[in-house]
Amino acid sequence: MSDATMATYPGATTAPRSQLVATALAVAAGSSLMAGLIGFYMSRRHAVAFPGQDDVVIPNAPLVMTVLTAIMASLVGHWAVWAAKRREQGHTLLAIGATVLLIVAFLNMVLFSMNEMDIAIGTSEWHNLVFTITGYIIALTIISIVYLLLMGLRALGGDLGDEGAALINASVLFWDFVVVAWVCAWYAIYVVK
Amino acid sequence: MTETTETSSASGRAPQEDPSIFGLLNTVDHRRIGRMFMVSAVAMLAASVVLTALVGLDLTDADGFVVFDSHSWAQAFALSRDSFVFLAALPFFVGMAMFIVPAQIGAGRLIYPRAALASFWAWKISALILVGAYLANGGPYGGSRGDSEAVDLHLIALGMTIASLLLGVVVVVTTILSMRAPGLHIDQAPPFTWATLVTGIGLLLTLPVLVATLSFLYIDHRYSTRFDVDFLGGNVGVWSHIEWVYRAPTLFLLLVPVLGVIGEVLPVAARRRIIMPAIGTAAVGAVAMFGLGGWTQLAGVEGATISDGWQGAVYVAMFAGAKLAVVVVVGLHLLTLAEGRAIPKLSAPFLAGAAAAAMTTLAVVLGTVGAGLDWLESVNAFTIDPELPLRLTTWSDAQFYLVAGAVALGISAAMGWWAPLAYGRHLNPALARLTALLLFVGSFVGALGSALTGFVTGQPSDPALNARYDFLADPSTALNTLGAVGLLIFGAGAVLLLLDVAISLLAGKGAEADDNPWGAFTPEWDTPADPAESARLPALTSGTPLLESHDAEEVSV
Repeated sequence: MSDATMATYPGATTAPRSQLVATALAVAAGSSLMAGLIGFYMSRRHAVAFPGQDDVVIPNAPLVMTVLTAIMASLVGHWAVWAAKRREQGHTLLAIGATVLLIVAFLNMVLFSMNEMDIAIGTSEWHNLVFTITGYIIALTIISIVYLLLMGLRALGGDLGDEGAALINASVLFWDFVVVAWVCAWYAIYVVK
Repeated sequence: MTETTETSSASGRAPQEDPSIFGLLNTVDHRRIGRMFMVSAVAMLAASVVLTALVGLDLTDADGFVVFDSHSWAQAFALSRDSFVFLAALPFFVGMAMFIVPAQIGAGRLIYPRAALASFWAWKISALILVGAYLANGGPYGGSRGDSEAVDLHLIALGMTIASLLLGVVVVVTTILSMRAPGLHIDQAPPFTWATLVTGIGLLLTLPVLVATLSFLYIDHRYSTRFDVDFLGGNVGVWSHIEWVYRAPTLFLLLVPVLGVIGEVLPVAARRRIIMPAIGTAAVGAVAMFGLGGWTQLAGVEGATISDGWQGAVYVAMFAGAKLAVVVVVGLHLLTLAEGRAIPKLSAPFLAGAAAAAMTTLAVVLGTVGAGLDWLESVNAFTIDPELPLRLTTWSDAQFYLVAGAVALGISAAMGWWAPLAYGRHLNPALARLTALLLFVGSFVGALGSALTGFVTGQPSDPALNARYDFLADPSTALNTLGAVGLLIFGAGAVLLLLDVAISLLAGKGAEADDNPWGAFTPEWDTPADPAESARLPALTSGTPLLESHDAEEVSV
């Protein structure tokens, strides 16, 4: 070491809100990924008009319900954050449970819609692109469920207050991102067509 | 004020490590993970630059190929780009950041060391699979001999390589944002830390677009071929959808960490802080902002139209903005040197850093000229002979070689600068100076040959077109030969760097280093090397605490 001296501190043993920061960065990357997917889809639609797309019957009602359910799950997720900040363990667990339940319902509706449309990979470019975008949404949804459940376990162990709420907030932030991504994909693929 | 730790020799900096394979697989020491990244990346740098030179050699004879054949040339070209960006440049700077950033911000460790380790091994395995896929005829334009699974493997491996690097980026950026020592504001962080932060954010916003494209290409290639249709062009369409990442403006992101290294090395040689640091910091951030090139992929999905109309105006503005920002950064460093307290010592890191600054400037100037001429031609204000826009000719290869030269020089400067901390030893000074010279001359001459070929003959940069040899007339073979000679010199420089690292640092033949041999200002030079000693870390109020201590001592005297 040099002879120069500096004041010291005990070192960063804990990093408050670091998980929220890491999740925000993952959300930034995920947003870029989804923008790339949807942007690619829109560019190709502008260029080739997707032969074969007209044969697909789009189940509008279930798809609208997916959007509403996803938004409801997001709102309930923020209830979990609110409760965790106030150290309300019962409310927190109930809210996380309801959020996960709604997300599972969302997943079920997305899979049902895909099944109704008979999305068959490899049969047309439209099918391929929609399969890929929806596949990513499904994967991100499953990650959200696992993330929320892990945070629920921490809440069950009494890890609440500002730090516990920051962790739950991170998992809810991730779900918020999935909701926005799905709304954009739904609008670009099924509304604009 | 209290002593941070006891005086110790730099050679004793490296903590005791488990040398077995288990030690490599389960270490959580950020220094070791960083070194693993850096050494692997320097090896890949040598391999990729040599491959680039061999690819260039094949354009020197109008009658046929010298090294490869018509089947493998385009894939070798693509591998030279893939390997430089994703197996050498980015992993080196990710590894260097993992090694040095915690000490620069007074954190002592990375926030998620196991994620950093996972990032390294996932990158390593993906990189090996990627090279294997190329060897199995799976690169762009490959898969034509009934081995289309290799193309699928290439697409997956490239996506996994990028994802694993992004994991490392998230770890480093999270560490910077959430673990800085009390009092160290982000705008006062050392130059390399700031450059790492803005590069990381740029990569997080850009590379996922490539992952999205690779996903579509994989689904298209893997499943559509069952119906004998490749909607996105199949193996032939791969390169046209991913090559944007090897072009400016995306390439500017690679220059940002080089500017960070320059910001560490040059002011120390002048024995003073950089002049107008806030402007320098903003300019480095601006280069990263102008490197957000994901939109060029989307704009270019249906053809090479991004140099026309409003997209062309944005395109030229990004080049011009990056050029202005780089010129500001380099200019501030020149002023700092001119008004320095001491005449700079011509150490190897200083020479490599100065050469990297020159090469960075050349890269953005060449790119801006090309983009500007293309745009002027698109609005009928200017006409040049070549049929293709310059950005589709080997003019763009020239810019790649200049960026590659700047990055290689930045890597050379960074290895030389931080080797005393990483290994307790110096690189061989003579070899390191010769390395800097070869890298500078080689990449410059290689770029000169390519730029002239593109401008004079309009030789296309697309490897499929290039490999047809329709265009090869006397002027282009002569200019291609000039470029190939430059690339061979460039390759020799990269191999020399690898040898120097292997002999001086890994084999321990380099001279032992003092604690702070360069008289550097940044906190890593006064931070305990052993994690066990990190119970107390420096509380920082600036990124140059050692300079302030030195100034305070001078005043008190």
